[in-house]
Amino acid sequence: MLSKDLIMRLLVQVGVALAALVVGVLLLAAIGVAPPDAFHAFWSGTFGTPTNAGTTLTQAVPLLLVALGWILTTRAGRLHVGFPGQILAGGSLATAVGLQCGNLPGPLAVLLTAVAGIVGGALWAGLTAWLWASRGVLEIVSSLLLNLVAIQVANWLVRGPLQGSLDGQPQSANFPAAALWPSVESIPGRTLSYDVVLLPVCAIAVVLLLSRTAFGFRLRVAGGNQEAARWSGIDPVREGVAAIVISGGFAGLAGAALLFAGSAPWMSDGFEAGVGFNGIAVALLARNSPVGAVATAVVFSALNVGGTAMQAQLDVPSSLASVLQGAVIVLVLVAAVVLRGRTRAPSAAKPAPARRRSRVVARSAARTEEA
Amino acid sequence: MGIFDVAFLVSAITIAAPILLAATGELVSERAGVLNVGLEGVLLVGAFGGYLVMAGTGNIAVGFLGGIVGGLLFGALMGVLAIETKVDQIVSGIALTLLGYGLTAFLNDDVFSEPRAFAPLPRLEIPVLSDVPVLGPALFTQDAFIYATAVVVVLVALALTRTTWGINLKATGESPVSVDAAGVSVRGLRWAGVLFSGACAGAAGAYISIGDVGVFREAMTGGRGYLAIAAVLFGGWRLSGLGLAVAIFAVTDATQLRLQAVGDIPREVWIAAALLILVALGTRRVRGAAAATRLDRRRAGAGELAGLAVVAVLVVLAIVRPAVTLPVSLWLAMPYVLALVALAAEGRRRHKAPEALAVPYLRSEV
Repeated sequence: MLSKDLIMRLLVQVGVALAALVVGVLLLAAIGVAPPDAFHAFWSGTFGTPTNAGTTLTQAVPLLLVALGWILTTRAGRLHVGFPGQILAGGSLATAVGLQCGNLPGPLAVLLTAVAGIVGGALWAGLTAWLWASRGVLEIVSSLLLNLVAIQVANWLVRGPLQGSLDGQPQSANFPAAALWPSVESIPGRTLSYDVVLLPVCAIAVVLLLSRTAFGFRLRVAGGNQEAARWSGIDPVREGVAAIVISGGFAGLAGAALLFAGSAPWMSDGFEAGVGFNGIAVALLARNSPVGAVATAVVFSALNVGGTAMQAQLDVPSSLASVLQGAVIVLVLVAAVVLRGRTRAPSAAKPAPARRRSRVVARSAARTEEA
Repeated sequence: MGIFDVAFLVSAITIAAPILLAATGELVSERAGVLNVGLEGVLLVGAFGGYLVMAGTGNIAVGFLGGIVGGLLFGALMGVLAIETKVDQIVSGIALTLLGYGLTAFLNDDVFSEPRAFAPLPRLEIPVLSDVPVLGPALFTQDAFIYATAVVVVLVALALTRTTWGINLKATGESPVSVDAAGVSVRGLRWAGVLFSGACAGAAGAYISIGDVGVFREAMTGGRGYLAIAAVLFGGWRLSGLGLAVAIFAVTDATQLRLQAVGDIPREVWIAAALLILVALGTRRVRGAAAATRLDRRRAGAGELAGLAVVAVLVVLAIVRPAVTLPVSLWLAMPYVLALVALAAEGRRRHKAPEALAVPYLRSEV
């Protein structure tokens, strides 16, 4: 049952992927690397061996979690870009908890680190939500600034309170074995963590949340038309706050996953590694569809892992990945316009300060108060 | 005066200039209705463009031109996305940030295997004026970029208030429908705003790389683009407010640079902070007298109490003078924290965003 619309969409998606590929090939040619060599290095580095495939899939998890957070907030009509900060906050709290979990049974320790990550990310996002809802600060600006604060706080944590490496490196002590998230043992190098089950589970959970629950409905109404939501008894500010905080929880969980299912069993200051912004690109490439985001998360993870492999084998700068990711967003934006045609208005959400009451109500209330 | 000496003023002005120029450009663009969140990416492209051209020609003036061209290119990309294809401006801004960071890091790795260093801009003494004590060395012994920034800011102020073009531009941000109805091109004005902002950010980026330190490093702008955007918001989309915000950021940053070297926090920092808060409370009080509703007044009262409590704590700290040292990273976070506090303190009372900010203009809608 493929409708014409869906086929059109898939075609555009493939077109975007091809265009991004062309950009990549051009950049490779510009620095004098033969595309077949690059492709070979890329393939063997991403899916060529079970070990590398495990890395690719495991690294897709944090990207997807961030993408789901972005999808939830955009559905509620909010745009925040605080994911890097929330990943750092969630990861830091998870580290603080995980380091104390040495004597606990494995499953409990893993659960605690995950919950700590979620709480840390949600609290950090809560700052953005509070600033937006009660102080009228645009969430995009406050989240950008909070990212910069979080980077410095994480820098300080791994040099101060959480510093635990024996040779004085700016990193935490090694996590106890009980807190590390389990991985598939049959794969050499144990690169495939069991947290890949989060890929389908979380994506489906978000789909169901948005389409089958009252909360999801309220989110979508608040994101669709604030005034209409207000008149039907839905408080768009409350829904916006909920969406921002939940997305922070997702990003915090991504932070915990990066650390406890990652390659190095300790926290260093650079563990976020661009996942926060790349996750946004993952969601955009999937046109904000939670299920589509699973596929694009794997693609982006392959770009990162393959980029590292190309750097190791062919000396290609790994920043190629961020060029491609930026190009993908631009292409997706333009493709969306092509798809929609120029006749219909794009639904650009206006970044607006939180308003609990409509202007009319506020004015009449002020008048009553003066009287 | 301890740490607040002439060298402190000079460093504060050097920090302020690129942020001020980038923020002025962003202000013009936002008054025309285009919100460029990707300013950080544009700054990076300007920084790298300047560095690249400087390496090729060895001439710093041509280097700055290279930075401006880089900024214009990214401004044009923003224009195509926001004005022509009318896509979401915030998402376009994120794309610009990623592209700017990725492209400059990629090309830097590729073109320069060894980092190169150049002599920064020379300082020019303005005759007579540079002999004035304190102000002379601080204001009139600066490099050409800082003088140029001052000129640009004054010209923008005049253009926005005294010329038809400026008034049309501001109207484009408030009510593009009216501008269109008056027979003035909304597209033209928005393009002008976006390109002006790109050129300003490009020049500011070039100053950060070749003008100030003479090298380029990956992600070297370090969040100055975000600070510039925050300054526009904090300044309530007015040039005067913007200047105040930039001054506050620059003074904090310069203080933190100084304190990294000093160690213990000296007494004058506490006193200066207390004085600053008192001044802020005073201006709030003057403005608050005209507060519209009783509710606003009650809120202002609570804010004043909190502010006075902080002042009292600061005075006690100045007297006791504890041996407090903050880790370097926390000092580095200070300007951002301050920007957040400033935005939060402003609240929505002065939220005078242009009505049509970040809303694409579609004639068919009318």
